[in-house]
Amino acid sequence: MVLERRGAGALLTFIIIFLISACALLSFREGSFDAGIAAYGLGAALLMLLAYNLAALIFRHIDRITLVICFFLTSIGLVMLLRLDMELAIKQLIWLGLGCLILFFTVVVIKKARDFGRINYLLMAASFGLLLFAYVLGDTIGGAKNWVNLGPISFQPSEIAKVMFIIVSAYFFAERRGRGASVFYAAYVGLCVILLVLSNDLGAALLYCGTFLIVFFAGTGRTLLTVMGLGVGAAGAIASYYVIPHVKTRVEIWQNPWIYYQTQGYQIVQGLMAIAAGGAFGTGLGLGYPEAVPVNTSDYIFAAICEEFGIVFGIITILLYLVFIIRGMIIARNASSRFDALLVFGATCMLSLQSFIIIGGVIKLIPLTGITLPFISAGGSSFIACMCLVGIIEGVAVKNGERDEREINEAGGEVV
Amino acid sequence: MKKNVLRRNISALLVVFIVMFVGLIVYLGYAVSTYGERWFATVYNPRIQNMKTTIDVGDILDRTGLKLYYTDKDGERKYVDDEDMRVSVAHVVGDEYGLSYGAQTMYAKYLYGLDKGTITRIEDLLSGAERTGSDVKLTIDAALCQTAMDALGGSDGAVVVMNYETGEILASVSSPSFDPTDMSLFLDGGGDSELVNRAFSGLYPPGSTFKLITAAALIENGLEDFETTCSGSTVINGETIACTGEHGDIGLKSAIEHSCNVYFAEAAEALGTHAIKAEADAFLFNTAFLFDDIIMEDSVYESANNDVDAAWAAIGQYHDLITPLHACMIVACIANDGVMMEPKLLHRVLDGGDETYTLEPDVIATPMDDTDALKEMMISVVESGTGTAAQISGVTVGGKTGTAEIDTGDDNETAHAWFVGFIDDAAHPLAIAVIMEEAGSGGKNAAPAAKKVLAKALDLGY
Repeated sequence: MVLERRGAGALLTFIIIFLISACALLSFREGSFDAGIAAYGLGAALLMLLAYNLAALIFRHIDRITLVICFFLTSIGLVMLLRLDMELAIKQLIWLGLGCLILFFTVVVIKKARDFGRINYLLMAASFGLLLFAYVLGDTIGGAKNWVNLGPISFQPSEIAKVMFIIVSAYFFAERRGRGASVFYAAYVGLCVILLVLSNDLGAALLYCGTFLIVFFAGTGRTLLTVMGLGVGAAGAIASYYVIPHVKTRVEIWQNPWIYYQTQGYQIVQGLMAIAAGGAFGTGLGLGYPEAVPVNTSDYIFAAICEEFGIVFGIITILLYLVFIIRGMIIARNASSRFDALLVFGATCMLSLQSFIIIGGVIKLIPLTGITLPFISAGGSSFIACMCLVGIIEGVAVKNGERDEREINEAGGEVV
Repeated sequence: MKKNVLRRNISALLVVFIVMFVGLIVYLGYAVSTYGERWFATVYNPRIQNMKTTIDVGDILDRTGLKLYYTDKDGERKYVDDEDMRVSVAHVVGDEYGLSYGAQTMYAKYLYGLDKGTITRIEDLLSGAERTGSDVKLTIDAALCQTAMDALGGSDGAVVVMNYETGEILASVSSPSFDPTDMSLFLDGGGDSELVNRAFSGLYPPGSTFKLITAAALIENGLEDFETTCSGSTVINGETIACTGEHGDIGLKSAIEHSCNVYFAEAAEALGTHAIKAEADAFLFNTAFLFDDIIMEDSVYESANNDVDAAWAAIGQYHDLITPLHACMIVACIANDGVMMEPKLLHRVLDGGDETYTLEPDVIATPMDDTDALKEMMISVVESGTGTAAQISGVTVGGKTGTAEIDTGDDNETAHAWFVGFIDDAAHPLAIAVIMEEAGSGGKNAAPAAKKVLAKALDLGY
């Protein structure tokens, strides 16, 4: 506990040094000192410091390592965005502030809630409605119809629905449900995925499918059914290769992006060049040319990070996600109820799978499916969804901590 | 279901995730270290074009120090003055628009100073010093390249000359070529195949030069004493394979000397297609060439499904394809006692006075332990066989001619002329491959060209 606290504190100090020095470097980029950029770094550092201490004060049992790692990943994103697109960086900082509030709010909600009971059906309807909404009224950006414009606000419904999807799934697998409820839930998952595929949001479809299967396996322990599910998934993927032209080109581009350079392979090839340009230790912040990479502030931000910070730093980023996963799984294992365990487990899996899908796609390990890089990519919906998921994890962590404390106190009482 | 089962499943999936993320890390490290330079050094990379304006780009020199592409006193980028020489080395040097795949693109890392550490570059940036790239010295000799281009006599094709002990490429030319000072035709999307470097990327049927591989397979499989009778043609599964002459009773040495199709077609039957495929693979057919200095196409030898195709494949027809550079690597390997050296094009990198990169020879394959018999056969090809036109007084030349038939589609069978050879002398370790497209007989056309180039190389002291 003390060790954890010290480790988290040290990491936070490192983040603050990182933020301030990176912003100081960027503030000299145009030749003369830009006080605004330096102030940005200071502001971001202060915000994180405040949020961390506030969180530790209000929720004594919050998992500090998880919180600090998500701040670390966020600060990598902020620095990269500041370097690529000032306007986006400022927005992202605002999202960080809002995200922290939402995180606190989620922690409180999760702490209070036992299993959401009947609200689950409401959540199901709401998440399905959001996806349907995107499919019917959505705008197509970057090939996928997953944006909704409501006057001044535009958001990605599939990001918000993600959080609900996790809660609903945890609820259904928390205890044995009747046949009717199971069929209902299965239909819900199937329809969600179909809507996402129809909206051409393949990254999200893959994410929902994968998360469902993982939670299904953990929740039911039915290996055979899970393998069958994987088989159906694989068959679906193979079928989509032949049926959906979009999927087929994706796979062909993945196999050899260079011959499609002029067309759909452009993004991958530019990403690979950026990664290669960095070498082990990067070109240095502001000294590379990640501007050449399309969507470098969103899906492709990992390539920009590799270019300017280097492969070693890219690997450190991957390791940060890994530590995040390990912490999440530990919290899930310690949870008192099956619902809590599955909630944390689902949230962790979703974030891990999402990072894997996009990093793997960018480095050409797997075919590219567009999705944001959790905590790092620019974008309000995505960031808020991530913070909600962290809120879920932290909420259960706080519950666990309070239970442990209670047990120790009770044991102590007996002795005296 | 019990909670501890859930815990067990969570742990199991944690292990799966750990494996996945470790996989990401391993793949990232592996991919960047293996393909990184290739990914970076492409003609599409806007970084290379952009850097030109902000960096004092390094010069490209040949091995003698002659400046092939450089910044003159007034800060202008210039190519070597002599037009013939400029055109001869054009594919190796490349053009400033990155339309061809030359040193300007491949060694951009050095020329633009990207090989220098981040710290040096940040220091440069802060001190306001102009970023400078390093000079790149190639292994080619521009004068030898000019002779090689001359020797092609206007034919389309390629010539590669290597030092077989070190793998250094002393000359590499590809015809037709282009003049990098006037790229307007190509910038408008015009031109034919002038920008293609046939020496590294041209895939040709190897024709009779492939008989060296079949011969090696015979030797390696203990069938060097295989004999047959050549009556001018042989029939395999109902298909006639014609020979260049009637060679009578014939053994391996004489079959190489006279390039007897009948002998090798029948030897292929005796060997079986698998043994030839294994030998071809040992000489790096069907291998992805991932060299640090050079981007080259991979050569192809497909296992044939029936005896006729196997016979054709054994004499270098069927689907066999090879690049001139790989052909040169193969003879170099035979000349170098079975040790194949990695082809090298980058000789030195010079940063001011410091040498930051120095060529070091690398062995890439050792397909045979003893190549004396093959060498002897190749020497007799030049002494008294099909390659007599490659004789040079004062040195022993070994070689193999090839006349690779190609179907041009309009019933006009024509042939590419090949000559691959070497000088059997440790003081002059030279290997050569010459291909002249649609020039007919290898012995009559490619062998004299090879002689001319090798003689010049000897003159230059290689």
